[in-house]
Amino acid sequence: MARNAASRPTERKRHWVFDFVPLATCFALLIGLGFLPPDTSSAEVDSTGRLSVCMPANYPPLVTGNAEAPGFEVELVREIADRLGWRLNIVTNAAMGRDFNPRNWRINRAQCQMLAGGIVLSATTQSFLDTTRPHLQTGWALITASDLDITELNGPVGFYAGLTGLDRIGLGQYLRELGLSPKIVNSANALRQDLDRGAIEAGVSEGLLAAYLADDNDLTVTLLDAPLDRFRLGLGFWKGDVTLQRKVEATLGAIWSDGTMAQIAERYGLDSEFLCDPKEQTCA
Amino acid sequence: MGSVLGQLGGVYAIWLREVKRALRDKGQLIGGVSRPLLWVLILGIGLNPYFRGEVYGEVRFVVPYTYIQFIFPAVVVLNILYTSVQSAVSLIWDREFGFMREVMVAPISRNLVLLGKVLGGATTAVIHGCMVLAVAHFVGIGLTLETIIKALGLMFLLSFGLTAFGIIIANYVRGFEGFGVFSNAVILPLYFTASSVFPLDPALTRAQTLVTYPEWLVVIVEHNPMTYAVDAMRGILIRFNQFDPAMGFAVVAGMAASLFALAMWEFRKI
Repeated sequence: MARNAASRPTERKRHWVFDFVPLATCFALLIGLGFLPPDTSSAEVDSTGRLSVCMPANYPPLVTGNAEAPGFEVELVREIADRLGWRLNIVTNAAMGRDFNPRNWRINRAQCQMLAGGIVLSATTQSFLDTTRPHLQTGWALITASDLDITELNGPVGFYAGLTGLDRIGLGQYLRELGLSPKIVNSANALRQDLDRGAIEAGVSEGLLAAYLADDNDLTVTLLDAPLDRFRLGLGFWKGDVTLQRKVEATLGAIWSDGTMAQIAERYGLDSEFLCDPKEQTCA
Repeated sequence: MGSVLGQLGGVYAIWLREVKRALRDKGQLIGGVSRPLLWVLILGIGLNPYFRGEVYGEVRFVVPYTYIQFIFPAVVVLNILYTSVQSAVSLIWDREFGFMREVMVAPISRNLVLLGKVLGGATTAVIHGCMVLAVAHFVGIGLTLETIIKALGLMFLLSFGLTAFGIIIANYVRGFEGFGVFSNAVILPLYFTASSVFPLDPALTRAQTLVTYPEWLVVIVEHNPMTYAVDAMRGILIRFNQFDPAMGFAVVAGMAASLFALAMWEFRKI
């Protein structure tokens, strides 16, 4: 009798724990199945051994068109392709970098599996494309030959919009509040020539481009802070190409961790304030 | 004080019995697993390529999600809907085998007996909702702590209301077979007319929506409270709402309060 009484509580406890076994099995099964590949996008690239990437024809420093220094994003996607054992096929698209709406770029799945060269992580972009976590950030920047602050400017100011997807209306309001009415120029070269000639006291452009223009010149670049926003950049994928995106994101994380991304950035005059950790999603 | 604790102890005992019964019911667990498998892994993947924004050059529609992500929150609601309503079958069981008579003579109010049963059913339904969340990685939805807490809150409110709804149904049905037929006749129409498998595009005006879908369908979808529950769940999980985000929570909370009040009224007749 005494033995039975002593063993009863133990039996009851075991029974209650065993009640959870079927439930735990169900969860384990579902979590396990959650790791099945949901699409064939990565397998397709693996089978051909070739990754096609759509990029603008020219957007320095991301894409330069120079064979020796082809651009930050060209080198980055080449590094990704190399590490994953794929050949890189760059498909240039003239509309990218000119029109801010990705729907107007007229690109499709048959042309490329990935998009790079200044993909701003905006609501417009993400309504059309899936994107990686950011690896770059930019914003409006001031380029001057002196160390003047934007509020101290008196002379004429040049403006070149550069990268698409940035808030031009917000910039316009901000400059008007400062009493500045910038002269719009048609190219990055025209902006640099105006600065060199002293035709303008300062230039306003997208930050990455400004850093590239200022590199090897005696110019100072300052990213403009609030009320102007910063914009994050990543790589684009067709919606639903989850397996390819995951593979590229993992490689991008490794490229950041071993310092390769910082080395590539340095070659194009991009300092740490433009870089974001794609794993932690933190920017300077 | 002792009386209050005694009453709460009674609620706890009924809640625990409901949860234990559900954990031991293998059929219910299999149902909880099979729904995410069929709806998300099979139907979602099967239809995903046909609903993407771009198909070899032709831009069909532009939405910030894939089809599988679109139906994922609806499948969470479907699992909750089934489990909540069917957990009320225990009421028929208890009535049939005399257990309810024993509970009714216990020194605990009827409303607290009902509360224990509804809380038990709601707990089970939340667990079944979490089973769908377990395949979130497959769908490509990142679950943060904030997302999980918000989703659990909404899931509990919804489960509470729907379990009360199940008890109302169970009170009108005498046998197990009748309950099964009746609950399916309620669950599936509620689910399919909740904008669960097709979107009413929020970018469209009402006139444009009526060009896309027949008016009778739009009216049914707009008047189905589950539409707002699914929409609120989408807002949490994929950050996409077709209606005012606050409306979803308001409808689910209102549904939980009113259905529980109605269940209290019905429970007096047992």
